[in-house]
Amino acid sequence: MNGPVLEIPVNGPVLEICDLSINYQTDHGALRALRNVNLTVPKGKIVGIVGESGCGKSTLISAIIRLLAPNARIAGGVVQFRGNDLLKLSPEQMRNLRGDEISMVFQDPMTSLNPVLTIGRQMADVQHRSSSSRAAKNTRSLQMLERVGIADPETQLRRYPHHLSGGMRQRVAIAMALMAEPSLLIADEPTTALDATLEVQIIKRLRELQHDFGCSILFISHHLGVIAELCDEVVVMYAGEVVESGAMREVFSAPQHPYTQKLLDCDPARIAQKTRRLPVIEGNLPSLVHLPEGCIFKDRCTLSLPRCATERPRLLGRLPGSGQTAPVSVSGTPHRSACHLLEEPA
Amino acid sequence: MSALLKVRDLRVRYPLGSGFSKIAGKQPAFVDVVHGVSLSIHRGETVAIVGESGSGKTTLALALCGLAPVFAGEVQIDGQTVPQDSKQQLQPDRKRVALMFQDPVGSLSPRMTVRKLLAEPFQIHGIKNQDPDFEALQLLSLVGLGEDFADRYPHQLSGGQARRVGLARALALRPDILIADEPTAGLDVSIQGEVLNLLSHLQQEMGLGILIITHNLNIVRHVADRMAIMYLGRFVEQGDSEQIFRSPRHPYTAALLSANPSADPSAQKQRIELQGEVPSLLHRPSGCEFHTRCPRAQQQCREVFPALSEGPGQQFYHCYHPM
Amino acid sequence: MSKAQNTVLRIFNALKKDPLGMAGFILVSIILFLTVFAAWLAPHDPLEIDVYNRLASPTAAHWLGTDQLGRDILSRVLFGGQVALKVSLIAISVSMAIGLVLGMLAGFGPRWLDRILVVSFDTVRSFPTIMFALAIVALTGPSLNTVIGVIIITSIPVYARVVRTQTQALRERDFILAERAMGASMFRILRYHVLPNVAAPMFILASMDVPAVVGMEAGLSFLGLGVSPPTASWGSILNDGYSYLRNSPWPIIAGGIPLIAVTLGFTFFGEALRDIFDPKLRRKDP
Repeated sequence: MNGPVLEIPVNGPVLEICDLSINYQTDHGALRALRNVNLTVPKGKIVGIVGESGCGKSTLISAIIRLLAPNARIAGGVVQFRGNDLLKLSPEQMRNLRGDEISMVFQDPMTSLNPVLTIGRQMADVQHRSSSSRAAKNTRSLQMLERVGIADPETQLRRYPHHLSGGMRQRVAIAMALMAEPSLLIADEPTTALDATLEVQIIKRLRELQHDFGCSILFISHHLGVIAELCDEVVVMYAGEVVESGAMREVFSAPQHPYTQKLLDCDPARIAQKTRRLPVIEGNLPSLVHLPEGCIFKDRCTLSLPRCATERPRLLGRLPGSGQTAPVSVSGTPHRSACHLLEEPA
Repeated sequence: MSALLKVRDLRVRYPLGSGFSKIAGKQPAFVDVVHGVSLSIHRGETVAIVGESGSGKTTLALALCGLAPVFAGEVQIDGQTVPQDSKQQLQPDRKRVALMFQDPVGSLSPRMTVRKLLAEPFQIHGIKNQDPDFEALQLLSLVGLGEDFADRYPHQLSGGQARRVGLARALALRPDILIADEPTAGLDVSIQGEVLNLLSHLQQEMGLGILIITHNLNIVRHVADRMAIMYLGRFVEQGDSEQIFRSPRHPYTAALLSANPSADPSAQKQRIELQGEVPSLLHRPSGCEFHTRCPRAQQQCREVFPALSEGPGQQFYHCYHPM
Repeated sequence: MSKAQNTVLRIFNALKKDPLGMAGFILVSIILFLTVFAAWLAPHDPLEIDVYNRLASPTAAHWLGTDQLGRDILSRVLFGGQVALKVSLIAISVSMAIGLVLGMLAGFGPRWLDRILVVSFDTVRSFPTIMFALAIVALTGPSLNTVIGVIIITSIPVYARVVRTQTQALRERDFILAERAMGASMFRILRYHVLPNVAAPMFILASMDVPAVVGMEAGLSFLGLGVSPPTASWGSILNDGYSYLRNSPWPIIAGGIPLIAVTLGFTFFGEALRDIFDPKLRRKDP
């Protein structure tokens, strides 16, 4: 009944995306939403994806859980999840993985909670794969609610989603996602709809849970502060490409790609001196249907070189100013970026 | 200098539910979303109202624009008391007070072109302009949009562009006061600066008094001269924004400021973590509303709401045990 | 490209991918063509009596045969189509217009007005239409105008209720609030901001309503409450044929087929339109 059992190796990264490209068929031609995306989520690490609207974050998540829009075409690449290429699994095998090995938490918990069922009923339903008794499932639900810091869990189990506040709903959603002890939790802007004081509660809770369960988290957010607060590693995306990746501390304190630098400069939280003129990134996103040649960021880049107009930079770990391959940094995660500038002498 | 806008002890009260539940006594008959708020804005000044969702900040904005029932209190514009209509809604001179909505695309009528949308304020107030087209293009250039935007529909605009059109509409009749509800919500960081820079540029040019309503503390620190922190419909603290950022007095302000995640990994700070959930407006806590989550709460806080205290440097707060 | 051209193009492109909708569109076009040009297309005068040629089967001169008075059935069907379309056009446009106004008032106006209007809609809807028509005809005598009047009165609540629900949803939207914040009057908001947003779905509803109205006219005429003899209507053709069913099946077949064609054509076409214009069903591009 459960399809062929997948072979799951114990070591190595949980998720490894190599050279993934995805197009959308539109009336105006193919929209090249993702191009040669590379991303690794090591075991037990929290990896953040940073990028503004239109950078391809949502397409990337949909590709991982194989819930792409009907007009999407996978133009190439591999999504390795614990040794299996997710893109090659049958729908049946994929369904067995979702919610068991891979879970998701969404921006608006109301969309993932059923409004007409009690929390308890929904938490029991999530355990449909388990053969344990009703009482055992109930106990497990109670434990999970306690783990995510919900007071008086017995009462909450009998309530409906609309009875709970936004912060509580998101914690219930997290409890449900972690119920099956997945190896990968994908969190898509889970704190965006929440207020600052609740946001820090959730972030702190996620960190604790990640530590206890030993799962990996792929965390998507456009809030740089939240990424800095939570993630071990960070991947910066722009217009469908990964432009920089590495350990969070290295990327945020010494960004290599001009886009990352500008993005960080724009964050008013990082500007210590009070100012009435806030920095912006001039220009617009390039068209993904009529893709420009060369570097995708060149039109908005203030530092671009002649070769940026013709030659597309590759995502490489380089020592700035030399073009030489960088030794793996202290954190063990290579700091990579896709920019020609790094090969130029400073 | 006298204040452009002066709000004294404003309360917004909504009636609740059906007759039956009132008789059954299951819930109170009304809910006070804004619970006695006082505030003033001067010409050329930016005041920010900061608070979490449900604190009543958007309702306050709607009430000032005559879109929510005012139960008590007084609002003055240039020293003139704003009259109320039969439904207890304020009737401000709509040419003087303009509102910029939170949802940039959703607040533009979906089947109208930008050109028509920009002509609307004039038509509504029966102002015959010489050349409506010229006027529309003029407004577009005021907010930094090209002529080619005039014939677009709202759904063809990006969040930032729609926000600019909303601003152009708000400024069409040269108001004195602009109320901006979450002017940067949903915008990317790289664009949020554009909108805020535009606002402060136009403020200098037109001498606007701006009331910004937001939960984004990072922008408040840069754009606001003064700020007020709202919790469950009350201003728990207000004053000079630099002063408040430097030394918040109310424990809620302190917690809010410390909760703000920073993108600077080296900035490690002492975080005040709040316990529990935000209470419901239907069951407003007695005394100081914040006592259910306050790390400093004492018996006194549970009983009587603290009076306004003044700290150094124009800082006002309601707290018995300030930081 | 103008907006209207754009819309036509969009409908056409969508129909190309929807065979059933295309079939509906073709059927509707044929029916409209045949009835509009009935005067030119009909081989005979629909009222011309030929007593020597009664209840004839189809011949070269009478493609669908003749009825009990020897009148050409094909011509009567074509002219009957004019009656059917005239009734549906007038009845639907008038009831839609009134329904739009009442629905918007109920949805946007004060609560007491809403209550009064909803009660009156429900009261009208609670009468069985046929009983209501019989009562009116008993008072006024059978005529086409009575039929139109009855259909208008019973259709208004249908449109008004849909418009009311949509208006209620719209009034909470930010752009309506934004208009109010600028001081726009209720008339202005309804005319410029609510109407364009509720009107489009009304046309889809109207398209799907055509078969019902045509059927109602046919039914009332069948009962002798509609057109007065000798005017041709699909209902009266059916009624004539019914009495002579043992002698000839042709009048029944000839009167029934256009009714079926109208029902299928307008329903398929209306459904295709709904798929195109209903934003909830439309597939979004990323």
